[in-house]
Amino acid sequence: MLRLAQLIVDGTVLGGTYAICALGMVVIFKATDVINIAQGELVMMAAFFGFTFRVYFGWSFTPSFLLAIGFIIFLSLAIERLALRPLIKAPIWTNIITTMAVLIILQAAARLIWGPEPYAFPPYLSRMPLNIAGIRLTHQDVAILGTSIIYMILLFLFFKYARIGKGMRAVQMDKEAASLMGISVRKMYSYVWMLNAILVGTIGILLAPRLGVYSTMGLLFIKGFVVAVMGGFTSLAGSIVGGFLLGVVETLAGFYISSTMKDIVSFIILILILIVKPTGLFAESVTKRV
Amino acid sequence: MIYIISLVLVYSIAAVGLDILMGYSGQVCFGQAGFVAVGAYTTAFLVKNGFSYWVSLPIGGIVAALTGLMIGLPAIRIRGHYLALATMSFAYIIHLILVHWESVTGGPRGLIAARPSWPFSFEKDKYFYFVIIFIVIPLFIVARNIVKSKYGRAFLAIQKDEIVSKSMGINLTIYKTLAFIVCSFYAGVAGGLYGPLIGFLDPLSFTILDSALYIMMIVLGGRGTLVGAFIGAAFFAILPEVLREAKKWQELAFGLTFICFLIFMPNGVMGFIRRYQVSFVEKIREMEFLRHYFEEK
Amino acid sequence: MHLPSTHEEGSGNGFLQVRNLSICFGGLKALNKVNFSVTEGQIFSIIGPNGAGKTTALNVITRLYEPDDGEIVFREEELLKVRADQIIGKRISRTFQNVGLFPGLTTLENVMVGLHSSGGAGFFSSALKLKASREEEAWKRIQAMEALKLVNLEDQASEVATDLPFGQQKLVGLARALVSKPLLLILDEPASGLSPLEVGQLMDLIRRLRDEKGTTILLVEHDMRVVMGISNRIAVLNFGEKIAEGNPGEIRNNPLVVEAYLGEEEETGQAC
Repeated sequence: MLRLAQLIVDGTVLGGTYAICALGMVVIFKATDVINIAQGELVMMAAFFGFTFRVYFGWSFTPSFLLAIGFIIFLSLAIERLALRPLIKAPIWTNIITTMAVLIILQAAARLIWGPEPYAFPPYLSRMPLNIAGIRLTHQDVAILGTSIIYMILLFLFFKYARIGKGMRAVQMDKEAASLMGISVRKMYSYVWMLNAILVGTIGILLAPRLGVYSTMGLLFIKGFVVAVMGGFTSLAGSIVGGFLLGVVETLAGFYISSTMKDIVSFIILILILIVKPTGLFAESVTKRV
Repeated sequence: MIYIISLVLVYSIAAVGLDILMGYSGQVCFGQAGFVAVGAYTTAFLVKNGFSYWVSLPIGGIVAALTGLMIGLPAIRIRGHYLALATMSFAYIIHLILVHWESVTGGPRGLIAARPSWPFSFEKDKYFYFVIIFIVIPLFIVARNIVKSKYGRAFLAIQKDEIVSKSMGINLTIYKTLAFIVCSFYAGVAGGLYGPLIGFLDPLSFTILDSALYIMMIVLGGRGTLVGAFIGAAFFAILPEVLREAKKWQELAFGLTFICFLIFMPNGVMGFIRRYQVSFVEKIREMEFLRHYFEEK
Repeated sequence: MHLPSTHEEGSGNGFLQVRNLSICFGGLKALNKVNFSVTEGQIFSIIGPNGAGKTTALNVITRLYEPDDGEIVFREEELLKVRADQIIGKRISRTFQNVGLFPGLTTLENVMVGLHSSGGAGFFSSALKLKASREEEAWKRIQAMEALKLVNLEDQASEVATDLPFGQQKLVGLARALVSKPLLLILDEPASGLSPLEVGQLMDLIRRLRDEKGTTILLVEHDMRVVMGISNRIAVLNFGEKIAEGNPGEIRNNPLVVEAYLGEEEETGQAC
């Protein structure tokens, strides 16, 4: 029983990160129709930048964190402007190919700059595990889960009340109408990528001590993808629920069935969803004009 | 050198199959590497267990085609990026099977793919090259026949307007699935040729990224042209050789070149050529017209 | 609003019978118990203000939509049991309001798609270019050229169909519908986008199809010159309901029809 609770808690921490990755992808997709396959690579770059500042330059955690996020924002804007903006008119799946090319470029660049070996990122909080009602959690786990939840709340508030947030929603619903209302669609495109950068950048750095920092770590975050599909790529709430759900299911499967099952589970779920309800489990319904 | 050409031919037959599926029938597929893998491993496995290569290769293609049928049927109702995701999952699952079903696939250690030994040994590159030529060229011709026939017209019709296609009597289920079957058959044959060409099979050659490479080939060469598939395949087979020295820079160059192509030649090389052809022809007409006009005076 | 009928319903001989057809879209009845009957060899037009449900009716008949209620019988066969892609096999072909030509194909190839269901050459025959498929393709080319001749576009045969001006594209669409020599030809606003000269030619062509080939024609059209000029019988729809049916003279003088076109503000369609 305790084991089950422990697994569920571990799964929840993991799920929170999946959810955040998915949220970033969904926000980008809703506004720009782009599926960002390179999401994991942005996480990876954030970890590397954080590592460079923290270990190579030796600065303390907070400035490293902030500066790394800044670099990722810059990188994301570059991707949006140089690779995606010129291809606005192309068919939808071309974006997938483009972000795949970006994935290749980022991985190769990381290997060239920092080399293929993994690096260790020093922990930012005490390593002592907390013991809450028999469940072990490290301070870092708490920080990760806490940050995930705080970000979700901030996102919700942002979309509801902030001017830019509302602008993003307008662009998501109807680009033409939004631009007629005086909203600069191009600026919104840049903003969503910046928003995504903050989300994934945080994940990258917060998870770095646990995962290490290496050029292929982006592959771990393919799950963010699956979660986004669970939300039909349109529902933010769906991504959140889906993220936690997947995290827990995966962790349980990994323990009770086998560790290989962990990876396969997410893809089986993905295929089932795509066959049975391609619009996702929690997708907002779209009425089609006949 | 012969080796490179062989590789180009093998890639291009898989790319041609994908072009029929994506360029003509308009169905996105990120699972081509999966179909190639099915063909490659089936052929190698049969050869390993004593079957003649000449029997194993077609069987590899057919098994791949059956896999294509399995994927194509449910795919009928899915479109766009959802289809991309679904086919991506298929590719990933195949990859996982390759890695974990060790008794059949040899797992991460891989599987040896032997070249045919009957009626004589085809071990030498230049002998196997002829095997490839004699299989790839007819397949290319068949692809062209398909595309120029009522089937090709039906595929294009489905891509552009499903509703009107139905009213023209085109059964979407049959044709969409047929496109998948043709594509996966070609991929399977490509796989069966790829194995002996390289000498062994390794799950790392069949990932989602490899599927994406096939898509990049047809995007670069020009979707829906068949010839474009060949051009793209040539590019992607030759590039690593050109950059052989600077192996570290290979992937970076790949990615950057591809993005440049996407931006400056979104319709691929063939699309670019055709557009130039059109404006070239128009310029000639214009000059002719002006000449006649001034001669009248 | 239901009009008490002053003529027998279905004075046709039942070549095409539409009975009680109803369909709902987004809470509104797009068709509400629509009844009409088309005689063989007749030109039957459906008219009505925008949004009356005319194209919807055509789409249900050609099985692109599934009705909520009603029956459609064509030559003694229940059409509702037939799939959209089987309609052309029943010798029913149609054109579309926005034409729907295929961009990747030439004009000739577009018309050849109209013959897709004709000819039994199989996949392998086509893939290996065996005799059967070669002969079938040659035959289709000839049939398609003849269809293009009917609409005076044989010179445009090798042009990319979507490069043609809209009016010509409509004629290509018509050729595509004619090439299979249908028994029932369904035309969705064939005159829109055509010049007055072309409209006149279209009217002649449709009349010739009826008179010389015995083709039955079901027509949705806004251009009254065409409707009044060639129809044997006209049905008027408004808000999904049939409000009148008769020959051109009767319809022209029917006050309900005039009122429908001028439109009263309080009227809306029935909710589902």
